Amino acid sequence: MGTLAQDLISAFERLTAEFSAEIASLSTEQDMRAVQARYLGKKGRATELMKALGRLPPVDRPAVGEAANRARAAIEQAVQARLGELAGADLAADLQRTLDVTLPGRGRRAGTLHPLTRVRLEIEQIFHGMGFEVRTGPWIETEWNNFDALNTPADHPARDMQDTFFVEGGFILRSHTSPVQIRTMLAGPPPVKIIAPGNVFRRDDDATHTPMFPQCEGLHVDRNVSFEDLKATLIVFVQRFFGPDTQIRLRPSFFPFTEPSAEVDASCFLCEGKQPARSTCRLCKGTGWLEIGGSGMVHPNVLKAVGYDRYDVTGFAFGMGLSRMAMLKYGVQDLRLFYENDLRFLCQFPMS
Amino acid sequence: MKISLNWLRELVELPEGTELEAVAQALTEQGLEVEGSLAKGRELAGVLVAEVLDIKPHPNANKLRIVRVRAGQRQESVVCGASNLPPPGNRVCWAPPGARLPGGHTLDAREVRGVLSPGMICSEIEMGLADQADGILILPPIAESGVEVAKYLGVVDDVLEVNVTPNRPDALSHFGIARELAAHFGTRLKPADLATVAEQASGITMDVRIDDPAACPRYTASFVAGVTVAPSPVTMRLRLQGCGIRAISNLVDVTNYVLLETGHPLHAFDFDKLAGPIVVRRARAGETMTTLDGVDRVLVAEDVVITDGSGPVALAGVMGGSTSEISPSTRNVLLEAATFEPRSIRRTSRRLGLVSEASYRFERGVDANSIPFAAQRAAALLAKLGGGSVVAGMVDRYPRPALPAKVKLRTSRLQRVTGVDYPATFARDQLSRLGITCEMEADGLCATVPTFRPDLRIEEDLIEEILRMGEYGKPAHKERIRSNAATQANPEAPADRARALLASAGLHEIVSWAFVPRSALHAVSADGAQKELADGIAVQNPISSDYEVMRTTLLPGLVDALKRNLARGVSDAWLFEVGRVVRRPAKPGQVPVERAHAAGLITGRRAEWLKPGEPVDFYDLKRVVEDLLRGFGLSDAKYRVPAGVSFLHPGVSALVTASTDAELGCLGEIHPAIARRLGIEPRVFYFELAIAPLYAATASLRAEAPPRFPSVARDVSFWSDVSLSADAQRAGFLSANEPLLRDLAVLEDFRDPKYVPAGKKGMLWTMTYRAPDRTLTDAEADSAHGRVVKALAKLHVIDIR
Ligand SMILES: [Zn+2]
Repeated sequence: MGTLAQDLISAFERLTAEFSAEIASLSTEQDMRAVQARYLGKKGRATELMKALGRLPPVDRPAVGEAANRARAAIEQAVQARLGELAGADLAADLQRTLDVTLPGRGRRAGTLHPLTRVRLEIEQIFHGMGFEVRTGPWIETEWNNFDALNTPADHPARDMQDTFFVEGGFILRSHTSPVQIRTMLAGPPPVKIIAPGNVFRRDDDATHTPMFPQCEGLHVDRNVSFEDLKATLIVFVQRFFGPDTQIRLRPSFFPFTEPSAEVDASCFLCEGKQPARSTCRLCKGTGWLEIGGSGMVHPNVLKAVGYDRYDVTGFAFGMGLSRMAMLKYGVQDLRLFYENDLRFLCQFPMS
Repeated sequence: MKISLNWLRELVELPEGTELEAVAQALTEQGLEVEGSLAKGRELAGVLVAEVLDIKPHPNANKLRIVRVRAGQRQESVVCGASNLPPPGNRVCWAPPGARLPGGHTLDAREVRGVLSPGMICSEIEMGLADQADGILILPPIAESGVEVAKYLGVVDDVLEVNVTPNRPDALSHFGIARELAAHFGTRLKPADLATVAEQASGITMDVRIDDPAACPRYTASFVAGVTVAPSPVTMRLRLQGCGIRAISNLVDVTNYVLLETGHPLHAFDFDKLAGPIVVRRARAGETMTTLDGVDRVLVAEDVVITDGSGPVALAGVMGGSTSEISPSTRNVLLEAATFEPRSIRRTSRRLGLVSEASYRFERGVDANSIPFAAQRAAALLAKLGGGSVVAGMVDRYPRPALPAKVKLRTSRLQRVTGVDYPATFARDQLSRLGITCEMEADGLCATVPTFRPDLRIEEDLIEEILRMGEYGKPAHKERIRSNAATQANPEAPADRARALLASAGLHEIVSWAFVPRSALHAVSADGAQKELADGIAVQNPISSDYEVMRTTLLPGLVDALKRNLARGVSDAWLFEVGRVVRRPAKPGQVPVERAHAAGLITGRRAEWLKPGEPVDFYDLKRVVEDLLRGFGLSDAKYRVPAGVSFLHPGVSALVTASTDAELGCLGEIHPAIARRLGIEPRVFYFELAIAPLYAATASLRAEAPPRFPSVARDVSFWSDVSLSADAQRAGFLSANEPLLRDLAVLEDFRDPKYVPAGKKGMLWTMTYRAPDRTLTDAEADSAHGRVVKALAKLHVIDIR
């Protein structure tokens, strides 16, 4: 190899070292690229050196060409290395930032759903899972739908069980959600498997009664629906609503529209019905049981009133007060809180 | 109904050791819910029956005596000031030192005018047995001395509050409850004491005629002669008081006592004041009588009356008349025991507002076949307590004898309704516990239902009776529940969607009454100017004027909730309600129209971070409404002015419509004049939308893939008239029909009077241009932007800045 070739090769090697020294103090890519152009650009130093290539004997050319390529690669590598160094330093500096994570989040908080809405949605979901559809009906009802069709004729003492509001036009405000049963059965043949949530109205206004309150009614009519099915439906419901260890107790009772009729109690989830916790339990008042609603087998007169074949089909119905369920579920002692609409109370029920 | 446990124990055998809790549980399981119980007489302890040995004057006081008493082995001399001290040999109630009296008072020995008195001799008031008394309580010589008075009188008792459902008239008495307990425990009823002191072969009597057998299926008259009116014995008075009935006199008390015991209402007439004979008939319209309470009553033809030839002497089954009332001078008694038609009693009692123990039972149904028993029991007691004698021969008119009902029960039906394969013999055995006899038949049984159970008429009635004896409590089979999917949409789902959207938007749900005061609707409708708001459907029997008319808008309830929160110091209130309003139907006579609305209001300050925010304004409200609409898939709703809504500020409000022009509702600031009338001080922004049109306008969701080529933004800034709305400007830009224009938005609406000419505003818009198939060049974007701006300038006067 000739001297010129050797000189060129070492010049390329120096080029790399000088470049590295020159960019060591630079802190932006732009500056480094400008320097790089002075080395490798069209008018750069590498190009200058390459002009001597023509003067080399052909045998030396490949070795010098290789040195030129090495220098190009080394320079690019030096840029990348320096950039990496810089990014690392930026990152390290950036990682020094801290803030007070205990300050509250920014922006308006989501609102809330009323506890009576929450509890209704939960109950709907449980019954939906058991194949019940949701049905609703009007508040303003006929006496026939609210009473007569439900085996509660005028002049029957059972009408006293509910003190009714009358509105103009000869209508009443429904005193229970049971007219929805009637409307649903009148609308089509069995099978019927529905729940009917909604507000009902009674002339009562004191610490434990409000003139308007939400109820949820259930109805299942088909060829072979029995009292055992009612029991099973109710136990599944209370166990999903209150917890898997909940038991039910049915007590004979009277509702004009069911026969047999039963009051439904759920075992107290607070004291679990066990002594000694039971005797001081505020929730069940020491009985171990919580009244949750009424139920029974649909009275044949009701089936007759809607034109069903009372010999062919049977059914069960149940009903519960949603305010009572919400009180039990959320540990609310005072029924009036649901209607005071105090934001400090309502704020405790986030959407779920 | 109040039931005395002591009394029950006299009527039925109970298993050894059966105490209050077991009785209460048994009744509750039988369907006669015990709602509570009251412990009686526990505060009276240590007061003894004491024999009076002798009485001496007090050395230092004229009105006091020193009484030597003996109680068992103890003898003491007690100072007593009573004027009715009985002669020696009688028994009094002595509270020795250590005895306890109601009110927590414990006796000790103390000096009375210089004489040491060990305790005192008590009156009924001091022992908590009565509210008033004439002197001390004197007991008959048969009372064993040394026994606790509380025990002797049966003061220690538990009174159960039993909730008897309206289908069970048979259970409206101690006897009826006892019968249920006998069935539950499998024990026997004790025979009743019907012994009469003396029966007079002849004496007073009076004939009875029933003119309307439908109104009065059975009427009996018993006669008791030679009685003297006096207070009842203390034991009877205590029982009546315990069951909530005021003691009056022996004759009246007996009828009440037998009523509570047997469930049969009875009426005692002063025989000598009756002209006779007794005729039971329907009243004549306009006929009058004075009832026991001294009120003159005008009767209608539907009422049933007892007459004596001179006119009505009692309003059958409801209340007696004053002319034949028992008085201190009564000597002879006609005792009525009868049944009347339930509906007539109910109507009369409702019309006159007279609900009595008697009418309550008659309207539920009284068993005609056990009348003789009740009448005999009452007559015997009258004679015993009044010192008279029963006249032989009860007059009994029974034109329509009640017969036991025959009810068939098919085993197949029993099994189908219950879901359990009960054999017919099981049904028979269960029913027989209730006194229902059955004949077995090929496909089931035929039950003979006693007349005291009018509620048992169909198969299902019998099924309940069979189940109620222990079967209700059997565990349920959860595996019976199969899940099957519902087929129809939940009708409440749109309202629930609105609830979720509004809560997400930061509002809190409230629930308010469906009825409001008329004045509230008057106020929000600007004194009725907006008729559909003012003219609510009236509740005809409201509890109070706060609930007199059905709400036509959700505004009053929200305002109410707002005011309550403001009053309690909560000044940032974002509230919503989703519920129904009721509007008058198009034509009278039609059913009123119920519509679900979503409404909300906001007031207070914006949620700024770490510092108080600016007061909320129309646009905070509009964001809420937009969120709600977007949740229903409406991104192109229109906001129309003027809104013309009575309760909204005319300049700061709009009607909201769907792109199809269907009206959805309104939003805006509450009209300042109306806010003042409603008593709200801060500025409040309110919206109300109807759910149904919102749901109907819901467009189905269609999504596109993100654009493949980048977009280019261009801005335009200009002056325009203040009156040229953003919507109008947008429409102007869009009128270019520029295919490359993909989006446009207002960046600024600038109105600072320091820089903006009067009547003008500075607008800054930004447009997004994009082609679906290539990257736009700057030149393409510029020319498209030029076309868009020109389109606006062609329609409106604008001054490009
Ligand atoms: Zn408990």
